[in-house]
Amino acid sequence: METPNELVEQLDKLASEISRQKGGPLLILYYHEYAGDVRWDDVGAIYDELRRGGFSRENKIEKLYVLLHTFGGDPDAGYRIAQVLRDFAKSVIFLIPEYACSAGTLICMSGNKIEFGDYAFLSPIDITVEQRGPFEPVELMSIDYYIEFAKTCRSEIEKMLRDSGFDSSTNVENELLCEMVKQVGGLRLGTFFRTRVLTGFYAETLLLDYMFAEAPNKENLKNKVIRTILFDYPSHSFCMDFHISTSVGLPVEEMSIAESDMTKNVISILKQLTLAGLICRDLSDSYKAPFIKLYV
Amino acid sequence: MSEWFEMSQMVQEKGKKLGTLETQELMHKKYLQELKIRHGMSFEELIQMANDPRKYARRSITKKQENEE
Repeated sequence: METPNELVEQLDKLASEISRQKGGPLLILYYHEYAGDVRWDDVGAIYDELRRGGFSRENKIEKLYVLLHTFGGDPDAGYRIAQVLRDFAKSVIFLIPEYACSAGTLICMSGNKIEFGDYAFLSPIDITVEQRGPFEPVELMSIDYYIEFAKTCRSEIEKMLRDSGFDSSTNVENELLCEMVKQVGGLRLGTFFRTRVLTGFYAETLLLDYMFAEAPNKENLKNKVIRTILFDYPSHSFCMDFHISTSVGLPVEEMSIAESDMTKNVISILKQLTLAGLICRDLSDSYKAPFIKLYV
Repeated sequence: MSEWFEMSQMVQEKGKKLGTLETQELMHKKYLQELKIRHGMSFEELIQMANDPRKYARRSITKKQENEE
């Protein structure tokens, strides 16, 4: 069993080796599974770390590798982090050893390429809004699917009525939609849709300015990705692995087995260091600092 | 004051070589400092608080009452 100092040594060695093999600085953004979410404070922390590395908007990194591990967080913060990364680097390649979900996927939209470790995945950028009162948080996708359900109910019932020889209609969808508004709240529904428009705008900006900047058909590519990750896929926990991400049109690659093992080892060490209380320490009961470190 | 000043200097220092744990320690201090300054509130909450129209409505009502007096 390694001591914490030995683990840190191993981490530094692995990260430096990845950076050497890839041929560019490596920035690790690790958010611990429990209570580690992307927040506004991280924007300044990432900026500071890149400046400490001696880089700036005037002295950009040619090719920056970003090893990202997160369940997600605030999409506004995700967008701002993406822009900070691009302020410091001419080209950004994301390395995903295990997963980058939601706001993490949004950050990846600023990359020139995304490299997946074995069984790694991204997730759709769904919007979840906290519910007041006794209800659980609701995902916007659930509302979309409920609306689809209401429409299907109406057409199925009308079809059944027609088939049975009745010349009448139904307003079943009205009742279903009224019940949804009653449960979620009318103003809250507005918040959901407004947030999705904003997140869609962030994703569009990043895709057009960075990921598909050089592509001749960038508008089409952008539209396909936005439609899929914001509207088509069913929930936050939907896994967009290498195969699905390729079919969506994202510029993705699979890491070699050696690279995949190395990046997964980095995550494993970071988990152990977190459990040892050396990194990602508690800032409050439900908030852990991320691990941010640039290896040049 | 001096602790905060020293930390800001350290953050801004270009090319300063810090070890992995030193970096995390520095960052942890900065996160805590920021939380303290913001009374534990998130940026979103602070923006909402700063732009809460009720605050301004109260102010203009008070001002109107003062003018009337």
